[in-house]
Amino acid sequence: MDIKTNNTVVYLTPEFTHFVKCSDFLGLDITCDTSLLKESALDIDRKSHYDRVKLRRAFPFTSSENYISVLDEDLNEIGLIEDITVYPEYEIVLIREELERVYYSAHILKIKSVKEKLGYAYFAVQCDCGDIDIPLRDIYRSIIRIGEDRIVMIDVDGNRYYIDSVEALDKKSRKKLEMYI
Amino acid sequence: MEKKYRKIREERQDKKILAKKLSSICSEADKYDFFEICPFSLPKDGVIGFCKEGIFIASKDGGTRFIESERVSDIRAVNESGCVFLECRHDDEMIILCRSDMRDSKLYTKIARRCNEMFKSDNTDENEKESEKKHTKERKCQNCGRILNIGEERCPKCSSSMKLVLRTLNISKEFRFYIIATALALIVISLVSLLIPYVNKILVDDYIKNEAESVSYAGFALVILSMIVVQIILNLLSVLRRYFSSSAGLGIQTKLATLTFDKVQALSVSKSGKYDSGDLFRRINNEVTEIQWTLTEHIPNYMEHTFKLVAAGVFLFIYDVKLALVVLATIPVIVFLFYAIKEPTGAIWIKQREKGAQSSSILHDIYSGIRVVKSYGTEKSEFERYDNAAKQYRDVMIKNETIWPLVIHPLNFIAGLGEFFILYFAGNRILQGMMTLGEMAMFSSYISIIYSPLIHFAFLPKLIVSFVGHIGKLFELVDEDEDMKDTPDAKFNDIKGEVEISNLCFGYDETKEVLRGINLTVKPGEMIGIVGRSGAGKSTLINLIMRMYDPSSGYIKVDGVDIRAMTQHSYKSQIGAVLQETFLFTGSVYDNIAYAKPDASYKEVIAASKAAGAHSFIMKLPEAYNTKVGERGYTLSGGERQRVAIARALLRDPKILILDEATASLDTETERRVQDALSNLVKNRTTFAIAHRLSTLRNATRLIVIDRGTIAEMGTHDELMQKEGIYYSLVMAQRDMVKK
Repeated sequence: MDIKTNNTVVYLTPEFTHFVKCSDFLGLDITCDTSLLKESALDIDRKSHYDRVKLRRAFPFTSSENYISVLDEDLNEIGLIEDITVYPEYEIVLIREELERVYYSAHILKIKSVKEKLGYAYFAVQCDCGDIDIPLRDIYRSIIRIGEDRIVMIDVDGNRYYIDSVEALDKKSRKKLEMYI
Repeated sequence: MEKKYRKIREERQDKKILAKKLSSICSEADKYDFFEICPFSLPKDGVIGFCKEGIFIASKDGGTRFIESERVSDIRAVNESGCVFLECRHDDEMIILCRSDMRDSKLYTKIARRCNEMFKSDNTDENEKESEKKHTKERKCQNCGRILNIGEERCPKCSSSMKLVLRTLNISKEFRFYIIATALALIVISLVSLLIPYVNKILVDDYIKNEAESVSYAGFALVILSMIVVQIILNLLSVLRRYFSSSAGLGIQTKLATLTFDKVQALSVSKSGKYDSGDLFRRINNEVTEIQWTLTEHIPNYMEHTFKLVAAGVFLFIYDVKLALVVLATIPVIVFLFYAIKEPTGAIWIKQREKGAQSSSILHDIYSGIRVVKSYGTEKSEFERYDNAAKQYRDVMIKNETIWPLVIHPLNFIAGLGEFFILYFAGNRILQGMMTLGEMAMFSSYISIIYSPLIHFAFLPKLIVSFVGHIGKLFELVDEDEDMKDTPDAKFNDIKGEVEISNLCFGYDETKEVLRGINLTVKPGEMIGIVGRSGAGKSTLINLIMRMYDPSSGYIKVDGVDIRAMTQHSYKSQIGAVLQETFLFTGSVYDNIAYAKPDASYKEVIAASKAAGAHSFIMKLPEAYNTKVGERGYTLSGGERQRVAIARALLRDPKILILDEATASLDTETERRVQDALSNLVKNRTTFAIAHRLSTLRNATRLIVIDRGTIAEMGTHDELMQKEGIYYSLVMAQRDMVKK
């Protein structure tokens, strides 16, 4: 079997990996001879079945379905998925579900008001999950531009709120946001 | 954080409210006595309660679940990206109990710890529990002593605007003489300056307007003289006022700066690490300067304007009620107009400031990494990056410079209309013979005294907000919990170097453990080599031994005494460290070596340098031990710096020695020389040494292998090689590398 590797990076493909549901978690079956997966001297012992694997996006801001790292419970990398869409539909659903579960973020649709007090900024916003008040500490560091038109706000607790397109916001919301970007 | 938001948070995690919510979803919950109860928000809102019998989960959509406690173990809080999970082992399988957004992250960690304690059979060593209990501190407000809730960074009571201002005033107490003197000087200045229009009136009405024959030249001279005297008094008072206000302001500034700097010094590495160095620098310098500027410039100016406004207003009312009413009627209009433009104009200036800061930050970034830029030949793209930021800054400035005059001039004109209106009113009175020319001149002067500060008053709310913001930021640092403060009964102990580490657990972030269950006993004079992969927890372990941080649980004892029971000064003064990078302070080579022992004699410094193998190269420096090093000083090579660090450590004569990759950045030849110096240093001292190059640990009495936060292997080199475990594979990997 031709397993695409680059030095120690193992790319997982549907030919020899299958994602399955194991109780509350995402599991993984490896159907090839695991010794075929080249590994560095310090890497993990690979198994043919994992009850629980964790997924991490390599580029969480810019690429949500490509270069997904698949890790075991101790966070050792089993391999990378270059593109999740090459997997069968059932497995794509499982992978997406797991990604959505571990990458929770709300998407801002409208900014209703912004209030600054004592170094904090309070954004009252309308999100896809309802109306939320977002408290930000150190405003200019908490609002991060990702690309030309996308913004992520990280609040005092570490919650993430995305503005998928600043241009697509209504004029009033844009004006309120403009001061901080 | 603002009261409203704080209240929402407190209510969200309030146990009584949560218990009610739980029983409203499912009445069966009433049967249980929950020792912990917390909310969850994903995918639906709900409540999870922990009782002796088990775990009760109720979601708002009506779903409920009960898990018996005997089937539950290993409860964990797992932080993911933007959400947190509570997981547990249910029989043999891990399951997810609930999921929430990051608001509950710290709460979940606390709950997981508590529930594990409650559910597991309690067989922990009593002494261990006692030691842990003694050193488990509740986070308290440094100002009022209130115990802080989970996730609460600052004490809400002490961070209200009024409280902050009162605290600043309290700090200003010792400068009250200067503050009162400033206020008195301002009152006198205001009253005296009000005399000028009145004297002017006398001059016009009694002398200038009168026929030459009836004028008393002596009186005329007296009026002129009185005007000169008033001016002299005003100037003298202004000098005094400036002296008083500067003495008060600068005194307060120094006091605040010292208070903040003291606090930064007292904070643990983990607490001060929350702020980057630039942020700390800004708080100590900029915030304090802004506060001083407000205290010495803005507040006295506003006081002066207020006194003048009130005094001129009262005078006008006494002199002519009708005219005074006309003058005062226009004031609200003017204030309203300026208030209306305050927000939008404030916003455009903030944007300009931010764009300016962005472009200078890019410039700073590029010049800090100029060697990388040059070596990669990316000058063009870096130029474009800066050019882009500079253009954005320029565009915002042009926009602002265009908008500002368009707003301010018409506004000034509208505000000035009031004066014309009054001029018309007063002119009519002159024509009707009801007012003299002198009186009109006097009125006109009082009107400008009243009108001119009005523009400033429109910006007063902004000044207050920014002042409170500055003191808020400063007190945020001042109120930072001193998590590693010496306990009142902490003692000075002379140590021999026997180290006992028991059941040590630690995480930089309270939600993530880096070290778990570390147990190790080291005899005085032993050298322990610490090896392991990057990120395994080696440096964390020595940071804990150096007491940079305190463990989350477990303890470190030296000569049988918990290191938290010793004063930090006494303990740290008996520890020496040679780290991978040696920082040299600006000063001479002598100053840098004697840093470990400021009262060291020349003889001692030379002896330490000689033993560290540093003496010969120091003597070749232009001014030998007096050569300036550090920033803008003579540049020493990596090996030379390390030998200075070894000399520093030798001079201290530590009982416990820490070597953290002391030779990692050196070439083989230099490493050999530094190793020779180190062998002098480690003699008869308890030493903990981390090294990636395993050959450098050949003198170690024992080696410990740290893996995933625990001690995976322990023994001598030969024992570990025979074991063929992690250490063996590390050695083999290095041998392979050398062969290649």
